[in-house]
Amino acid sequence: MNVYVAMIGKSYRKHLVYRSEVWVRIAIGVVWVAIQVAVWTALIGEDEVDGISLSDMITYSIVNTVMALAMMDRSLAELDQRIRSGDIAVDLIKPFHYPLTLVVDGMGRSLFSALFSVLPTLAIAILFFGFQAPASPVNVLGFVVAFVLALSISFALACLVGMLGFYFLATFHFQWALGALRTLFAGTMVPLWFYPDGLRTLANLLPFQHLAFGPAATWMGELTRAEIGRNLGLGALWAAALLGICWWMWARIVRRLVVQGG
Amino acid sequence: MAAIELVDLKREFRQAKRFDGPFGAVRTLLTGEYTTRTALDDISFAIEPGESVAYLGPNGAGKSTTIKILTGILVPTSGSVRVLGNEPHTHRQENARQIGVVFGQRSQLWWDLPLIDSFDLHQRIYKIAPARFRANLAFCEEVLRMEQFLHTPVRQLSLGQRMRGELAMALLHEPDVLFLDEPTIGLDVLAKDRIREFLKLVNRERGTTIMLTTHDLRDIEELCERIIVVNLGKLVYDGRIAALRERLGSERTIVIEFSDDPGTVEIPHATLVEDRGVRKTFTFNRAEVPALDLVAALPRNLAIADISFEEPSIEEVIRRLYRSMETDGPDKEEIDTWTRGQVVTQ
Repeated sequence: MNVYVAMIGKSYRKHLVYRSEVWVRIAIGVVWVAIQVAVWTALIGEDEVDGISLSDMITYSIVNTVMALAMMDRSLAELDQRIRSGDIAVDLIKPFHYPLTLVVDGMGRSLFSALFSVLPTLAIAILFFGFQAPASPVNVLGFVVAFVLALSISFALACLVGMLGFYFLATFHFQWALGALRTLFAGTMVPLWFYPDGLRTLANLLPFQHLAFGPAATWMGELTRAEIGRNLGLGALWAAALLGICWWMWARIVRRLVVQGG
Repeated sequence: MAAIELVDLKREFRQAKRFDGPFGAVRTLLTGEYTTRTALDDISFAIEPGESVAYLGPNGAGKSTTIKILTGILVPTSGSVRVLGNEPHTHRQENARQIGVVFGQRSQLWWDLPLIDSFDLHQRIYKIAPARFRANLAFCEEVLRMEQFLHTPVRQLSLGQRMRGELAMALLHEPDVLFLDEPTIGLDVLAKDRIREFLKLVNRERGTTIMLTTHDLRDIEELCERIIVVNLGKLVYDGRIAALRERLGSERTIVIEFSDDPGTVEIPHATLVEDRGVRKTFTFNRAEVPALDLVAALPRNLAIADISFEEPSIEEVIRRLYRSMETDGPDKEEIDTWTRGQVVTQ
């Protein structure tokens, strides 16, 4: 375990090397919130739509932007490249579990993001646009769990797309597809409560809503306790299932590399 | 117990059969036919602890396949393989702790971090005791002269510095066997020398068994007494370099410089290969005529300024070996006879 803890630290330091990235990421976060605030101001104004006020939407935008900043798991983009170039051989020779090193690498990155882009962005956004406090401690707790699930699901999805690199020449189209599905069904920009019934039912059947809408709605107290519980249960199921598929696919890839020689 | 032992090792690859023509790709997809390519064909050899062996062969001969099997990341089709008593592919992690691997073309260092950080992580991965780690690092640091760039991020290192880092890392956990896949590729002469010196020291002082593949034959000359040559998946030669040189390189060159141009000069048993007036080059077969007799047979009336003999370089020897494997040249039969004998008897 010691090894993996040390790797979190190394990954954190690795990202610290690119300090200029910090400013860009903060700027992107703030601009992104500002755009959403402008859009919702134009759409809602002083009124309420379906019981949702402008202030609600600002909070929703900030929570989602902050989550997106913490998630951008790019360490998995390397996986696809390493598999294709055969560099993965180097990782297989080492006496450690390679997929776990990817997880801890992601954790180091998230730690870095949390300190250097999430917190500053959050502070600036709150200062300029205002922010609603969470409804109750239960909502905060629910949000924390939902956020961890969101990180796991997003990691698993990125991992799956990365591993597709083993079977296909390029994975950028899969990445686009994943990005499109996320944008539409996660409710990152438009909360699912504005969706028509059919689309919302579909979104509820997919894992993507657990990436953005679920945690944000939990934070804001827009869900009843029963709904929060059901959401977390479903999210946990999705996370377990997707990580399980990742595990199975990884074992298959290693076996194919080792037995068939790629 | 041998450090490395291969018995009748065979490795086949299945490849989807490719069809030509405009719909070839579709046919490939639909028919699902495969062709089998044999990358390693009944390879057997044993390497004793402390030996330093060069594993040679033209591109595509099966060298990397062998290294992959020995490091446990490829399963052989049949035959048995043992590294320090373990079967690598079924004991990949155990095997990993006992071997060091350097791929000349693949980095194992953390790209964005200082070199020392990669070493630090390596210590944790291989669970090296702090005192041992410090001693080993100090040894590598001194011999490879790494102190100036130990704290430089890997991406800013020159290729030579990076290779030294890779080598040090492969040795920090004191492996008994070291696999080197083209360790000097792309390096300048000085960097190559430094790395060879280091490997020699490691082999001599620590008794680390070294198996290296290379295309730079100077590596072999400096490091290895024994070479194993494969071609098209088959073992073609296993033995000492000196023996190979004797068999293939019995041809010597004699260069004679005359004070004045003597015109045509004939020496019994020698063939003129280059004539530049005062400087003439002949070749002769050492087995046929001793060098001294040749000199004695030179016409007495000629004023000779200088005589020099040239041994065939190892490059020349290996080149002849490779060439003879490719073509059915005049050497082919001779080499076939004696390599066969060599392989069978060893």
